[in-house]
Amino acid sequence: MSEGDGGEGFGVATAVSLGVGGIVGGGIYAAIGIVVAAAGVLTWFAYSLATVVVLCCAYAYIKLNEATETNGGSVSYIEELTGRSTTAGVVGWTLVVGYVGTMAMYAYAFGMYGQMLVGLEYVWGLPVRQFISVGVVAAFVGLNLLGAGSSAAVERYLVFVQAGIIAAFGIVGLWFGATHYQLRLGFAELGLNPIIAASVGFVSFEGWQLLFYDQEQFENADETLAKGVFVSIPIAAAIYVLVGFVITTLLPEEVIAAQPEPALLYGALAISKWLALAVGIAGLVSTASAINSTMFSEALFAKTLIGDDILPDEMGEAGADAAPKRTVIVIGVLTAAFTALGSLEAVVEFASLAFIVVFGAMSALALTVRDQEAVDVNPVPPLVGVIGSAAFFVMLTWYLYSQLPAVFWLVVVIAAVVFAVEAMYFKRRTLSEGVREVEKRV
Amino acid sequence: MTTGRRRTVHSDRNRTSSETNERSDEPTRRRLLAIAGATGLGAFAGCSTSVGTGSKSTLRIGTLRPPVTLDPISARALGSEQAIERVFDGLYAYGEGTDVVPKLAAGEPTFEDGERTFVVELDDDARFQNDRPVTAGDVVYSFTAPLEEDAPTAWRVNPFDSVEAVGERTVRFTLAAPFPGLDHALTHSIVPRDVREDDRAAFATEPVGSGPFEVASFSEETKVELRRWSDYWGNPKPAIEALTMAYVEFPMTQLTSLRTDRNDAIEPVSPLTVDHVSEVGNASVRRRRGYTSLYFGFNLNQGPTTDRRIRDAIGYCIDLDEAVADFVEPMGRRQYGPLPPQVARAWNMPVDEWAALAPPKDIDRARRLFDEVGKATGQIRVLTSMDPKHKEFGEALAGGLRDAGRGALVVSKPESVFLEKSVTGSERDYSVFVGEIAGTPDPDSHLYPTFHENMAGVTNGTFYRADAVMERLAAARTTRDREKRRKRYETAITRLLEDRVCLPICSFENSFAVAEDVRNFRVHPIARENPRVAAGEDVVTVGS
Repeated sequence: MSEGDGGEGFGVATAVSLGVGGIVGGGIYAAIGIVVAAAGVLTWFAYSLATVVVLCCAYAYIKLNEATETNGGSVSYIEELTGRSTTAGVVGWTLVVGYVGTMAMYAYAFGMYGQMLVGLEYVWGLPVRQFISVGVVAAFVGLNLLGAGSSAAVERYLVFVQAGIIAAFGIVGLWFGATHYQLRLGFAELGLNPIIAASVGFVSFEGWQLLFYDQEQFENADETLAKGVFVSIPIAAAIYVLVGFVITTLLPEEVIAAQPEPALLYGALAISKWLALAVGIAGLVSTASAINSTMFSEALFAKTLIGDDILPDEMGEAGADAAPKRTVIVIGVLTAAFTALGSLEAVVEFASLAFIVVFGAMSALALTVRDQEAVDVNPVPPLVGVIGSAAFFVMLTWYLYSQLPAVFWLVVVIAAVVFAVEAMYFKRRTLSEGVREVEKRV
Repeated sequence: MTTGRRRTVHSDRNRTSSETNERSDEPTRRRLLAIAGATGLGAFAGCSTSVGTGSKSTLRIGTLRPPVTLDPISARALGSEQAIERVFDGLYAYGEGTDVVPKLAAGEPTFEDGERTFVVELDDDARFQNDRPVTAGDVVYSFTAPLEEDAPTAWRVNPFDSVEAVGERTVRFTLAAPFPGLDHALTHSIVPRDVREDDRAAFATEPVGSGPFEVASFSEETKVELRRWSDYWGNPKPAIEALTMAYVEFPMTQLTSLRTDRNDAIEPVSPLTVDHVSEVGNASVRRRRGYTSLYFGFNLNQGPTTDRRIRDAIGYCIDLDEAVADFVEPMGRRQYGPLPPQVARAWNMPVDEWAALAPPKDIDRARRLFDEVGKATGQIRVLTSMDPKHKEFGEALAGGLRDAGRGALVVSKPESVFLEKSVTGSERDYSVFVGEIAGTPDPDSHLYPTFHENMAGVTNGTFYRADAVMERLAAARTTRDREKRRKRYETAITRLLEDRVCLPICSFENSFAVAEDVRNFRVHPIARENPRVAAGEDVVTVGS
């Protein structure tokens, strides 16, 4: 690998690697069981549906990135294009909490895989899953504090472990399913379920937009990121679709719904213990890697928000060179609390809702820059992104309310707390600014 | 929904392999991942990873059945009963089969008045773990407390008209009528009256029994650690010093725990892992057909399932033949009545007739019935425990209900909550529940606690009331005439099925996967008798 090592920016290959790793890394290991519970044999279709909406949202991001000067993500786009700092603040807070939820989901899956591979449920009377989950978050908080943050060079090779093994599982599983079972597409069962499932698993696709927080690392960022995103999403989606198809062939969907956490391991075990071992290790590597890269990116993102007064100064120093230490610690503590206390469904659904809202908002924003001369925006993809996100939001909310009421109310409480704190913070900030103005005049 | 194809894949067995893991030392994330990966590799591939018990005089069992209480009077869950049976002795105990032999009793009961009154003498050596002799008063208390407390074990002792102490070590039992289930009833655990009455709550977690093991520690729904009672008065004495039964959530974790030596045995063995026990777990599967079965119970007390048409519609929403083939075989098999197949066969029951009463899957018919009843509000709540098998059946039924256009919600609760909620009769808790019956060869143990109105709200969550059925279930307990009993049970069961009080699902074998160094481990057909670590001529040993 030459790019990126000699002071030059990263190229398309690295962007694709980081994109695929960011998407596949953890998402499929944590969320596939829940998607299957909602979509059954049409899991592959649910992933396909989500891919269409995600690609449209990604198109919106790319165009917004071209239309803005700042190297950032959704918050920067809103601020620069609309000047609405409060809206940017709401999106910023939603994303911060969404990332915390995503990391909690990865940590949950890491803990589960660790527990299942070691065969240990409790140690000293304490549940091992929470212990491992919190432990891995703490470990990466430590690594980030020591400055050993996300390394694109390492990520590039880890992709082969993360995505390669699960892709191999999909291919081997396809062959195994074809020779042992009757493969079914399940079109006879088409209905609302796959659409609901697409929204349930939406968080599985969020990893690509982490690239936008680290744009300065890339050579010719706008073009490189565009290619990276548009290549990595279909690759990751192909893996998801394949694995979704295979897992519902290897196992009854009710087994996956009842035991979402070990579902991939059971599927692999039906073929070979070595494949199960490989999938288990890949699950550990992928979820751990995803925690690290998300934590690093979120810390950088939070630093930007602190600089913009969207997040409180108490969270860290906006002027820090790398990820602010206090920010990393705060994010780590929130993630650890979330992963220790929340159920898999709760953290997955909360994160999915957060990203549906943000991606939908970005698609709507992209429609407003159509008239800019510098950017050529086809209105169809952002429109699909808006409609798709809105439909997903409604369906996921209804699904949670009707099928997982406990999760629904937990999500409502989390959202209420976040918005209450946010409202108090902005109000306080407005008051303090007013006081400062009065003091100046005095 | 799934098709009827079988997914059981038989892998090559009897292969073990090992692999060393050498990874470079890099103080980075990769190092962390390597450590985690190496651990997993050892778990699966056979590295001599050992995170479990060091001493080989202990037996640790990873079970999917959590212990809820250690009080024999109030115990209802199998996980509780399996621990209780190690700590407490009864007047009589099961032999290698379903025959009973004296335990606390000095010998066979002496009948005084035909079949209704008999006397049992206590063994002079019988003592509790606090060194107090077992007395007739303790026996009287153990057989009367369940009725006074309306406890889940009341059905076992309510055929007794009176139980009285004749002397310090002699007990006279008087039956209201000849009781065919007497042998099984006399295996009921005997508790020390003074200790339990002193503090019932404490007794449920730190009980004093007269059995070969005493409680070292207990954590509800998690783990029970037993240690050998060195002064055990009876025989045989255990060879192992400690026995731990720890709850494990997933069969996958169970399987790897065998490889990592975390557990010496696991139970029950899941159909998902049974073919891999030898090659992954380096263990062998011990199976024995038992008397445990699964059923969908309907709430006839409150809510939509009080309407017969709704119960019929629900029955049309699931193909249980297919579901059992997919989820249970080869570790169990389909059954069409509330009796396990071997009990039904031994009693010459009309299983084919009952099979004909089982509703076929017919989503259109279900939808029509739902429509006929009218627009329903709310959802059909399907209550299950956290047991993966129970959840799978709950999900399968809910999927069918949704296909029929009816909202369905699967609510899976921890064991203690499930036990409480599944007998409330409240539609807020359930319309349907996945129930488990762990009985004996006597049909009474499967039918009376599950369906008789006397046990409604205690062990019976259906709240079914039909005088004809109740009378037959009660009358079948009052005669030793096998043919009379058979007819009463046949009539009662047929009516239960026709009235769609329940949907029988399947029976389960009693199964364990046992590590190579565990010897003399035998599986008993009565589920609560397992694990039998100190019974018969050859007691269980661990290690060389």
